[in-house]
Amino acid sequence: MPLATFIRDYANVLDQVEAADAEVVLERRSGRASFVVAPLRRVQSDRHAMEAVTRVLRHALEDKALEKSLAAGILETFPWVTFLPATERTQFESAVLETLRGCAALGRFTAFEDLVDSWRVTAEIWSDPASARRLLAPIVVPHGGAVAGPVAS
Amino acid sequence: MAPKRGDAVAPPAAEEEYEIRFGTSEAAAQWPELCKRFTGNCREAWDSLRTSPLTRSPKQKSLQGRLATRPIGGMDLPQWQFDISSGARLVYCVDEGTRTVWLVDASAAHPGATVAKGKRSSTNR
Repeated sequence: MPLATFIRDYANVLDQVEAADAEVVLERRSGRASFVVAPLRRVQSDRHAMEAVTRVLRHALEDKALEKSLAAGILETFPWVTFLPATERTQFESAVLETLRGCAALGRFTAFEDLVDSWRVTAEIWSDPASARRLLAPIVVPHGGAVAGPVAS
Repeated sequence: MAPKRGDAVAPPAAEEEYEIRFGTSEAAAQWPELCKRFTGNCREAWDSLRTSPLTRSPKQKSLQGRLATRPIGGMDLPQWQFDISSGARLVYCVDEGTRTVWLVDASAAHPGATVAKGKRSSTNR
């Protein structure tokens, strides 16, 4: 929902959000950060659940015997990993487990999402091997022309 | 490469800004077409590449694995992607020493769009 719409009719929107125990995303223009409005009770219960899952995950990640099944779970969760070359799949797995350990220790998972996002766009490129080969090729002498900004027509 | 008659001219970068230059002839050929189709998004990308090419955002991400860096002029530079739309992207490398952003790819057809339709091979080795 655009932020301006919310400001115009916030009382009604808040009533609906409360009644449905839902959340609404308030979008701003020009790529600026969006915000979420949700009932406090809902956010608190989500947070408590997240804390519990994080504690369990922290213990699971310390158990080397579980590493293999966690890795299998990662591949199932992110099926696009299949597009990565075999060596990079292993690299992704290690990076995910390492970052999860760090995030679980802090209780914040933004770094995990950033990591997964970066690998996802990388896998998209590998899904077209010709495109990947092009982007791996060294550029000995770059073109060098200045890139002009777009001009509205 | 010297600009041709009628080419748009890039304003000089301010002191703290990066200069954006074409790394490949393909990018130089693709960029004007992309700008025609996605003027607003390309403007946003151009501004972002000039001011903060190494800042992560939902549209701007570092590539990983072997694609994480690319040799340009003998130097390994970090390689990033900027999503122009769900079907278009820019790939660029950043030289912090010379504060230059090398635009190496400006594709209107994002490989991910094809992946979603399941048209690509399923694995790479």
